[in-house]
Amino acid sequence: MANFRALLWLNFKALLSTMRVGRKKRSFSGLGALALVAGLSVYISGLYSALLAQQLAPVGALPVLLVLMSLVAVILGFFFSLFAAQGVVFGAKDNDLMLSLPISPFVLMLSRTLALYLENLVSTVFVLLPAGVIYLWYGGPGGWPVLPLLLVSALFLNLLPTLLTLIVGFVLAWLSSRFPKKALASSLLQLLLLALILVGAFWLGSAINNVGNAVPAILAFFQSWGRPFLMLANGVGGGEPLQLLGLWVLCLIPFLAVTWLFAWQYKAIITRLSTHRSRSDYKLGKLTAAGQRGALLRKEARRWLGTPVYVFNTGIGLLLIPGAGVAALLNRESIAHFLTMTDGLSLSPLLMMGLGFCLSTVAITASSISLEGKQIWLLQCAPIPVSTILGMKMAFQLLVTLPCLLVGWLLLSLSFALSPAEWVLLLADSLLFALLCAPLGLWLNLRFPKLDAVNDAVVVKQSMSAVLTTFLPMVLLVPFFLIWLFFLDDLGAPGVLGVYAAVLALAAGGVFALVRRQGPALFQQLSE
Amino acid sequence: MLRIEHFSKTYSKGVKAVDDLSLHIAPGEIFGFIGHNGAGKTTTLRAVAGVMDFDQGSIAIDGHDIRTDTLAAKRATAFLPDNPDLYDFLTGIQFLTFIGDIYQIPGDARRNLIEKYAGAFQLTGNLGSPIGSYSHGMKQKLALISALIRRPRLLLLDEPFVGLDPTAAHLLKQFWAELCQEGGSVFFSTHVLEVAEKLCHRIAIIKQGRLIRMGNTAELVGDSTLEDLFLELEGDGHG
Repeated sequence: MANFRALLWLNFKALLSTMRVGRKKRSFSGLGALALVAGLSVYISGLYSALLAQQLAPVGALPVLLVLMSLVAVILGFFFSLFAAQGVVFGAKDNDLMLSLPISPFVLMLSRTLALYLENLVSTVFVLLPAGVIYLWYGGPGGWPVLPLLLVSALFLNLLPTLLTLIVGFVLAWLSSRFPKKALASSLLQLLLLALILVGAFWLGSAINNVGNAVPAILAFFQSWGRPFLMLANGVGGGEPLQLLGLWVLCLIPFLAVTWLFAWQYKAIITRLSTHRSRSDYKLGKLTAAGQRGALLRKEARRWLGTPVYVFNTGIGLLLIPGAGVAALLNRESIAHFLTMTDGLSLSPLLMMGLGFCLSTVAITASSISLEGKQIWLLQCAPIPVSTILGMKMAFQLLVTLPCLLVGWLLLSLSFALSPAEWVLLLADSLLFALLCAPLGLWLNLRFPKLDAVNDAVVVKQSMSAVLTTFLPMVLLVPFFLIWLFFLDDLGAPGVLGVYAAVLALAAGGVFALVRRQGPALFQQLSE
Repeated sequence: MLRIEHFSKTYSKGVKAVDDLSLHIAPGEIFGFIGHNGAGKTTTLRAVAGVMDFDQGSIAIDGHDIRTDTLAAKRATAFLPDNPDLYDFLTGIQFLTFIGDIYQIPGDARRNLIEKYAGAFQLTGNLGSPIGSYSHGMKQKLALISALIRRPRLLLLDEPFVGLDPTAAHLLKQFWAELCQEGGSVFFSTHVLEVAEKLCHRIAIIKQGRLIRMGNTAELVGDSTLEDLFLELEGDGHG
């Protein structure tokens, strides 16, 4: 038992101890990651629960809120910890050390799974709790016991996302170890999952206004495969303890069965997954030479494309920008109709907000230093100016961002009728925003490097520089919003965009100067 | 080939890793650097490679100061750390192409050099596979090939024999001799004292960051062995 506790602590710490300030780990780093997940869960749950409750309360169908939000809890938990399962349970780098210790593989697997469960529990609890509060606020049946019952049910419901991440994590790890184009296969699978999640979110968003009328259809839908969610609502709000008990059993049995199966074969599974076979039939052909800059750019591209979690986390915005353009083009008539109803709504600043939000998520440079990891010595002893190394990291981000941005901008420009000045300024603003994000991510990664991460997911998803690089540009949209709010009447939309362009140019220039001045010294200190 | 003058390096919290080290390595010389763990060998090698900055002194490679003429000094050098981590996401040939591009080795010469060294280390057939699938020894060989194709003036190696099979170790010694015949030099650290005694023209022994003995191997060892000399200098006695 002492072994199990020690392993659980170690694995939970591995999942959470990912943020670093300067070169010293701080004790609050794990709590910071948990707080972030909790905050995001509360925000999503609060927003959707309030919107749903407004629709459901008038038709007396508030229990449906609990059904839908418990489904959201499972989806979010799955989404938050998908890569953790692949990295920590099946792809941990300390397997050799762990398996050499006098601990059974069974216990090792259980401790890793339980760590995953605990991480998931944060999102599950912080989705269900606000949903419960809003449910009671709108007068949902069941009274105050709803909240403690929801909390207890969260412990069981949380087994479902953990089970799903365990299975999908295994499939991803298996794909990674079997296929020659494993990164591509893994990226495609993850993009498929993302597409499903986006379709689900889109469905929820579009259905939310009509949910009151769709209650019978929703209930029929959940009578079949979504039975556990219905049982939760009946048990918690409807005072049916047997339904609640049934839910707990339904969650517990498959989880125990699958976990036991994995744990039983754990040593064989991770040995097989970590066994790589190198081919020995390569024949040397003609070799072509290229310049230093080309070599660095190709390396960045291979690093990005060869790391699914990197592509997945930094490429969503790249897909969303042209995707929004296509959607706008397809729905331009209904959007035009909507705009005629919103008297005087200025569209171009709104588009800039959307583009800025998408560009914020393309934080490739924010992880590019950390992902050098223990290979940093290769660049540090190379006969290339550090400014060129850093420049190529920024150039790569711009190289993948700008084509998507231009395509998106072009499609949006075909969809909406704005003045030529607005279109030019919209392009200028978004280009400047992209030019700001690339050096900002790089500078933050130089300030907050994480060269010793246990896996790539930790760097890309949870490191301090990745989080800051995603959120700081979003914060930079706030002054734009304020200019829009207070000066739109005086300046007009082109004026607002023009002022913001000046602000962005100053900010981008400032961060470029910062990278140029501090970058080489920070880079050289990295491995010390 | 290499001139280190009054080199000192202090880490944070005032820990002095190397204190006032001076040594010169002539062209054609194989120079062994010996010391216990934490003596300052790796710090010195990393500073010479330009991977790490230092507080005092100067380091010049082939006449180029590592601080003021950094790129020329680095171009003349090939450095391999004790555990050379390579890019796992590249294949062997992609990695060698990357190194070739960074060190601006022309295409034809690059092919000939890769053919020569990869053939010798029996790694040609594996060059199409991702480095992530290589064993430790294969990675070590690939790192050595990447260093040798640069035709460096100074080869800097931290514990180069760790992980190498006997054939590869034998080949490496041959390639060192070839490099030295062409006027290059080898500066390496090792704990394998027998190898150092047999291979090195000169040896330096470092203890707690300070150079305690340096000279011609034969003169230093005399009638004894390098192991005896080392243990005596380390103050561990003779057992």
